[in-house]
Amino acid sequence: MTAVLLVLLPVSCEKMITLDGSDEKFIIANGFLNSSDSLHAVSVVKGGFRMSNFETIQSARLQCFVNGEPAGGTDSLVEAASIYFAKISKMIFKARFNPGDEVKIEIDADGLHAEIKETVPMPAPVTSVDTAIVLRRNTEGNMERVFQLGVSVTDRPGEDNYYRLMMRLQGRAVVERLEVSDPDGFPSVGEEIGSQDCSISFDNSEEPVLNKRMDIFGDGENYYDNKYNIFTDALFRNGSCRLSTLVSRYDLSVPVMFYRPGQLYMRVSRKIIVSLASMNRDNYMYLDDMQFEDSSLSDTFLTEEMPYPSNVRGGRGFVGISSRSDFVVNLRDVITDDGYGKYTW
Amino acid sequence: MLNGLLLTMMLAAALPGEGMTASTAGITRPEPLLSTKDTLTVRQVMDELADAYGVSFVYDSSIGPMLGRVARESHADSLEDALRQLFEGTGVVWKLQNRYVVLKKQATGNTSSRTSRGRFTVSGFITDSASGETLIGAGASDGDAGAVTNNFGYYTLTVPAGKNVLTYSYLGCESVTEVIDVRKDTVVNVELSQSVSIEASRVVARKDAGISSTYMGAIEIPGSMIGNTPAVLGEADLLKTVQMMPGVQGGMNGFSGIYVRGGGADENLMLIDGISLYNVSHLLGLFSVFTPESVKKATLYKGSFPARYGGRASSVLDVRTNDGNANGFHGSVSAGLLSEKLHFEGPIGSPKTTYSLSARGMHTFLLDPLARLLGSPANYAFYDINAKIAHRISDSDRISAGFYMGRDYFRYSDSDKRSNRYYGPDYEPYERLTDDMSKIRMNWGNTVGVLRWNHIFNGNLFLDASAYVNRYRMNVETISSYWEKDAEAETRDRMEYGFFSGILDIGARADFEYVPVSEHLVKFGAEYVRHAFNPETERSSQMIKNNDVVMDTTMRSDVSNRSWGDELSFYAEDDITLGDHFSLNPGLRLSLFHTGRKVYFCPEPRLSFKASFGKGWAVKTAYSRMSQYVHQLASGNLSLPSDLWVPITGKIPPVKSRIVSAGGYYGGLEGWEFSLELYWKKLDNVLEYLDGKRAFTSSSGWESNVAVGEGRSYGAELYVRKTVGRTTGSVSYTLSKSDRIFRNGSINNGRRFPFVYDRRHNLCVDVNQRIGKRIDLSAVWRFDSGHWMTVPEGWTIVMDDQSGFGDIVPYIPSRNNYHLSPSHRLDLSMNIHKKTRRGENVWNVSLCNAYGARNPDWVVTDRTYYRGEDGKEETRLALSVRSFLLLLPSFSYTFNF
Repeated sequence: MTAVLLVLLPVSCEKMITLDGSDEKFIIANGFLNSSDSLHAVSVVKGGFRMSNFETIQSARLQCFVNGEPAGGTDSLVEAASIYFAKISKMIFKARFNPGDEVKIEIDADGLHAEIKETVPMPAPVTSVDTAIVLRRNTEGNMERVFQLGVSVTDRPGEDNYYRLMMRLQGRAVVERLEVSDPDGFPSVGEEIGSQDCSISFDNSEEPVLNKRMDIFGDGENYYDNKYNIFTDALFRNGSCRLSTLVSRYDLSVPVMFYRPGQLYMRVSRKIIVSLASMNRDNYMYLDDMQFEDSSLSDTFLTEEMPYPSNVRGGRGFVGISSRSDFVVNLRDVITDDGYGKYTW
Repeated sequence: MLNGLLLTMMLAAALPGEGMTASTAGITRPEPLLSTKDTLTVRQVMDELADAYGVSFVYDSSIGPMLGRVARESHADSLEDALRQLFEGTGVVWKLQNRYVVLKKQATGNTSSRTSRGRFTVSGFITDSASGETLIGAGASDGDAGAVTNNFGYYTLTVPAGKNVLTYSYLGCESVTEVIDVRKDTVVNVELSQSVSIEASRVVARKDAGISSTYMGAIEIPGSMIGNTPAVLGEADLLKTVQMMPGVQGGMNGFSGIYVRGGGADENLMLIDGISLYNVSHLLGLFSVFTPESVKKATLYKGSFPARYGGRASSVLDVRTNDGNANGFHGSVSAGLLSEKLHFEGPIGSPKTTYSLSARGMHTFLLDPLARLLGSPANYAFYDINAKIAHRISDSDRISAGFYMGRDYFRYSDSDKRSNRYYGPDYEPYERLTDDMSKIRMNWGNTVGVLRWNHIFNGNLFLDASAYVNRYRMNVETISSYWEKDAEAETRDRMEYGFFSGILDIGARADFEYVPVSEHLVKFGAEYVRHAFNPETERSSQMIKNNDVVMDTTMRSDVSNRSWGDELSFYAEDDITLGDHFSLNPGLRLSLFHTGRKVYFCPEPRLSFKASFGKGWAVKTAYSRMSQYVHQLASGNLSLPSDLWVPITGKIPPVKSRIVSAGGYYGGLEGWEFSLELYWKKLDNVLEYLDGKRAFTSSSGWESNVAVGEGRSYGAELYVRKTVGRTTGSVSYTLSKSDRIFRNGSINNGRRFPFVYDRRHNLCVDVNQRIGKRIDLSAVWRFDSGHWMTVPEGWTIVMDDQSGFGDIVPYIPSRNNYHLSPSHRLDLSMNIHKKTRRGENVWNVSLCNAYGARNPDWVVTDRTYYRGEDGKEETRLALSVRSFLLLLPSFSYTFNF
């Protein structure tokens, strides 16, 4: 359709109207809080109508209220990132809240005030996770073994629900035995030589709830890859479903500092934490809008700008609160001398 | 003041007096008949009056004896005065109808002339004498009561037994008066000829549309009006003519979408010979699918709706196509800047069987093979085909078969073949061949087929029965392929993707018209439609070949579930004439829609009322409820193939509208119509995309991308129209407001926001001037307040929670928060006719946007780059405003034969 419009554009006149606004300043706050955590972070910066209005906040105070009662806060600003010519600061605070609580966050910064008010959503349980080793042909045409996790989820009945599936790997590698004549220069048995705590990038291409369409442009910026793994209960409302995901063995490896094949054998202990986060509609739309804008699809349609949800009253940005239910899958310990992650299962 | 006095005198002279009709024009008024001798009989005086005034007396033989009595001595200075004095006290009532004076016995008891005793039905078809085409909305009247022909040219009139003078008329035709001695139900088929002088239709009769109709907001658009409207790129267009009506807005400037009284573009029921069309536009909405040569008549309803119509919430556009010329082979061929058209019609064998064939195609459609040969990578084209065959079996039975097909298609292909030289690890050169290819094909459009049977049971009962198939399809296919080969390896990666959306309707309906007495025109009927909806289906395949290893993946998914719907509706309405001054049209439509999971039942009451006060004044009021079971989800302001037609579901209910209207009308000035209408409309369950969502923007299907809300609109419409004479035209002005609200907060945080086409003022002035016999000039000037769009108000930051990085993005606080500047333009057109031995040449020259107004035709947000005083470069938000159709001339040539 862009090509068709090119028929009309050459016979048109163009005029540019610069949009302008007031010099009023406001706080821009963003954050993703979770009820399972006790430590939370909200990023703040000062903004205005123009990009040149972005400014680093000099001093700020954050207060968190749960059900009307003070629950935590902070005055400190930690430099987090740069944006245009300003610095985004993080405000890290401790607070505890549970599903169903009403959370209010007030931020006062450089004479400005902003508020966020959200109700913590109720979590939905991960009822089970089944695992299997499957064979799959990779893009080189070679067969490879991958780890399949089937995550069974039960929907919260009676309402529209929005979810996000995440996985985290926690593991450690410990020296199990040495087969050397002279152990000098080697770590001792029982010593930890590697650890891992990171999110897992899993393959959802075979799960229609998460990934329904192929990359129609073939350019790798595919919106339908659903990199945030967000989904709604549209296909299993009031029921349950099993989400099939695949993980490469390399994504389940623990990096080690010391590696001697044939001489040093390590015990690798790992667990996969499968998390299902429940969020509200605005939070879901925010993430969905982001991955749409990051994709090549956003350049192809004759649409207006993407309006991101905002829940910051008196300012801009979005601070989302989700609830998480976790399911831990303990992998069998592996004793190996392979430091590159080609473990047997 | 003097003009007003003269006008009053003219009106007084034209008004019907007691015992008269208004058909006195053309009767000369000689010197007064001074006196009569007391020895003359009534019959003798009648003869003298007939000689003096050139009138004829018509009466039944039963009155004869009453005319033999001696006439009273009288002195009169006018025919009416003389008749009044002559028949006073004789038991004979008279009425003057054109050049006839009709005499009847004075009724005893019930003095109304419209008793049912001793009455019979006169019915038949009114046709054009030149082509044999039936005339829709032609009038038939006996002076007391009137009737109009229905969509098939059929009329029914109940008249008293005895001699009756019936007048038949149609705008642009010479009236015909027939004296008929009615002793039983009688069939009278009438042919009307084109009039040399353009005079107004004189018959005041019950009509389906227009100022004399009981319906409000009902406007007739004849085919000639479409041809005289200045055209964009030389293409006369029905919907652009409809946009000139009050209460109707176009979407983007110059495009064919119509938005009626604050309703969406999908809330208009577009009918072609009674079958609804889903996609009515070509070329992103620049033109409609209606080929003007095939259109006989179009009627727009926007205020009150006959109960026979349903399925859309805001308006009905009923388009009837030609049956074909029964008297000979005729047609036209036409070529313009954009397209070619041809039209053929004629009898097949005998005048009882006729055909009509119209086809239109863009030049690019016919030249596509040449374009491919020349290596053009892309092409776009559209075409339409209308065909109809009609056969008159007898006076009581007619059958016809109709077909319509319209398509838009777009293709693009590109291939990049290369041969490159590389060097291996041993520095030996080798060749590598590559081929990078991509193709896109899109096509969309309607296909309609209908079989129809008209049957007249008796003079009073008419049946129109039809069965039809209606299919709309949209198909997108993309292929991308990369191939690489050298001495050692060969790889190929081919990906194919297809997206399909469509609707298939199979239905049947029966419509009855029944006239038990002249005061009642009862219409009733039923319709059943089986809908098959396939909103979003995808298929994709990927083949990867790496030397001898091949991997194939094929996937097909119904992104949105296929669904079926059964729609059943019944209706009944009665157009009731209450005396000389009032008419009432109550109606009820009951519709059922079964989605498989849920049944929706929607009663739709309809009521229209009209009161005439004489001297051409009338007031009307109306109430209508409408229901709509399908929606079109529009992705933007253009008519895009990605605009999906989706059904109601268990979760998404039907759109419902309630419309209340009232208005005043004046038609007492011959050839002129004046109207002022007020309306208030409420829409429930309107559907819109959520913020930022459009087609293809979700992996979950369309239901998760939309929200259900409410709409309201109200306004006033002024319409002045001159329909006769060498200079004709109209002025329409609309003052209106419309907005939307989604109370669950899903759009705009639950706050009310303006409807995108909430244009406060719309003014359209249209003038047509005929110069001599050969030249028509037309000018249309439009002014519209700006519409609304959503624009950013500054910047904000979005953050990725995993990486912690932020992006600066435009900040959108609300929907439709920016009001564009008004638009206006003047379109001019000239038709030059020249008759030749074999036909007629018509040259059309048009100039669109004659003074080059730079209207905001296409507005998108953009960026400008600015360096501030501190030397920092800054990106600023801006609007890119593009104006199309500037001083756009066009030319077309038509040969009519």
